[in-house]
Amino acid sequence: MSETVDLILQTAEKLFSQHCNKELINQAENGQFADDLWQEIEDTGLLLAGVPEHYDGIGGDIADFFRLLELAGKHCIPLPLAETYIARLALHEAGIDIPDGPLSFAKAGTTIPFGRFVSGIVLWSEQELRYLPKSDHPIVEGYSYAGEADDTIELDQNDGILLTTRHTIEWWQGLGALSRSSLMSGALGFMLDSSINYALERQQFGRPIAKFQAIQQQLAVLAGQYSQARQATRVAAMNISSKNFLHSVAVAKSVSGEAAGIGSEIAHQVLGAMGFTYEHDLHHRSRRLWSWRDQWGNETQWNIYLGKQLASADPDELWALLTA
Amino acid sequence: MSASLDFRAVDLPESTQALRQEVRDFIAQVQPQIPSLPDSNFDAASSKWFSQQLGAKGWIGMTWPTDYGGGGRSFLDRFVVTEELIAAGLPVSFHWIADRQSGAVLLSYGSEQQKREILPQIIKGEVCFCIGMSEPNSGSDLAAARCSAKRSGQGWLINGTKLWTTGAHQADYMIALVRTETAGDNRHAGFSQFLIDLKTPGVEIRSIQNLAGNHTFNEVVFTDFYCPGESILGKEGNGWEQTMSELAFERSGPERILSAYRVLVELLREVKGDVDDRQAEVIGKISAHIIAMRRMSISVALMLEEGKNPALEASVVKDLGNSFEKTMPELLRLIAPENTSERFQQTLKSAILHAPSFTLRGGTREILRGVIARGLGLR
Repeated sequence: MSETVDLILQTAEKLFSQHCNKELINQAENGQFADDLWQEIEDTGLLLAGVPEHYDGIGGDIADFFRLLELAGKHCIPLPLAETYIARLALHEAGIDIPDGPLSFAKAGTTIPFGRFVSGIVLWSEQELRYLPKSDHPIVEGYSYAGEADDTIELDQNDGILLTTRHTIEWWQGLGALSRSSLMSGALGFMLDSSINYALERQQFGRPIAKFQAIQQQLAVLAGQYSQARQATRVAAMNISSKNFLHSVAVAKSVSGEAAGIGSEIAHQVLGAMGFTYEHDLHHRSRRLWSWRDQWGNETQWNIYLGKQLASADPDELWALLTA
Repeated sequence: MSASLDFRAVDLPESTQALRQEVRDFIAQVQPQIPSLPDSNFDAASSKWFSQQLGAKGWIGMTWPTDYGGGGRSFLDRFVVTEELIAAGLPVSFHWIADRQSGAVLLSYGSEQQKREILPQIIKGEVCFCIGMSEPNSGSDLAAARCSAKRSGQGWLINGTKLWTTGAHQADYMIALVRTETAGDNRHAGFSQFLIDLKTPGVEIRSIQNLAGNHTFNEVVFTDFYCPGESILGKEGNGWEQTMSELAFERSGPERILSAYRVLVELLREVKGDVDDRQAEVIGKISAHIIAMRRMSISVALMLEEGKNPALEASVVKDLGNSFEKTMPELLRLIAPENTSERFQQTLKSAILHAPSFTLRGGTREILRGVIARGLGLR
């Protein structure tokens, strides 16, 4: 992380809490693109945060942006911030002019987050990155668990422009998966805090439910899951330029995906029927967690990836790999 | 609230790399001389000889001031040494408690003479400590402890029983939590910590076999047992606070994550690099958690190094770590090939038979979650 990261995060926290609220998130679920919020974010230069100067950014490290994504996850920013950021990096590395407006970044063969709203898509496959400028490809509108636009676009294998970048294809996959871990970490932190606040306020049997051990013990588990997810995610972000990056991402995506399931379950149990309503904002986090844990590889896929790598090692060298 | 959880993603300093290599070289050289199978459970085996070897390397009391013969090194250096020893499954229990927590208590509260006399012996791997906290009627509820000390001439007469005392049968000293005043309205008041020389005649130590058939813990009975005046550690009546700060050292180390680690190593030996997706998934899941929790444990070591109180974070690491190390053999047994070696079976058996203790020793899961809930502002 760079020295400017604190400033970036303060700016983002202020902007997100001022401009993103429950109503705005609900509107986004009704098919409206949050244009005003998008413009605010662009004007503030947040999507250049942590973009190294050689990418025409404002300096700092790419890792800074993943800290910013934790805040985006916390506030449920209903915009393709991660997708736009990563797609712009890819276009820049490939020497292609970056179009105005939001972009998407997705795995080939999967749905395209915010597909109908973006001015271009960077598609990742195990072999290559391709760029598809906005075109007349037919779009089948779809929705994520969170009700966010998640569209299917009919494409041919050779559509678009092949991107040649200075990073490996695995690195780009790593950014995609890490973006989900960062968003999940932020959402889990918010969920922990709102569950604690609810437990302290909600009275049953003549006292706040926070006074019941059964509730305390569950929230302690949620705290552990959140801490583990966030720690693994931040370590992976720290390793962005390391040869161990994809290993670290596998760890982060595996434990944060697991934490998303365990954490949502606990928060919903603590908030009871209230948390099951559309009225309460818990579902903005839980439904996003259920989406993000599946995107860019779920726990099983990353566990298998990691397991295969480690199983092929000499058993007596395993420890050296785990501590690398 | 979430903001009270102070975990930081930091790399170990470059300077620890040479140390790690040195430890690995030492392990490679010493391992063939150790008869028992490697076992990552820190309670599994005790060898004074091995502890002396470590002492000669300067790897006991590493963080203690050089004035007392300590290494004057950082908690991050100590972290590296301890995790290497645990992962290699070496017999560390003879010096473990003294190195981890008793030495820290002596440094903070011992008299100058006690420090000069005892710390150098710990550092050489010559003396063994045990923890005198639990009693027959005081397990998780430590404040219910009834073991008492009354003034007698220049010293104290101790009466009572300590229970589940790991290593008491081989220990030279116990640091015990003892009532020096009868319990009043404040249950935490009136305790003091004592340094008890267990080699003094009159202490009755009865062995207790655990379910695996091993003898690691004991019942220790004091009947009008005389302790000299200087046995009291720190301030009379300050025992509760002293014990709580001792627990922060006890709760976050690699031994709280890796107790069943050798089962994973032996499983890899069995499958010989040829794994199906189900096996790979389990190996990956376990490894992901080890890597993530280890990073949390490093962050706690950093807090110790900075002189911060890591009670909350250490409890989070221990709770996550203990629960996970307990599921490790459960997950691994289900993906093991049908015909496995004697070595694998013994390693698995030891982990499964000892797993019930993982979430009990050093604070039960329920107590830890209570500590975490308090740290979060719930109680």
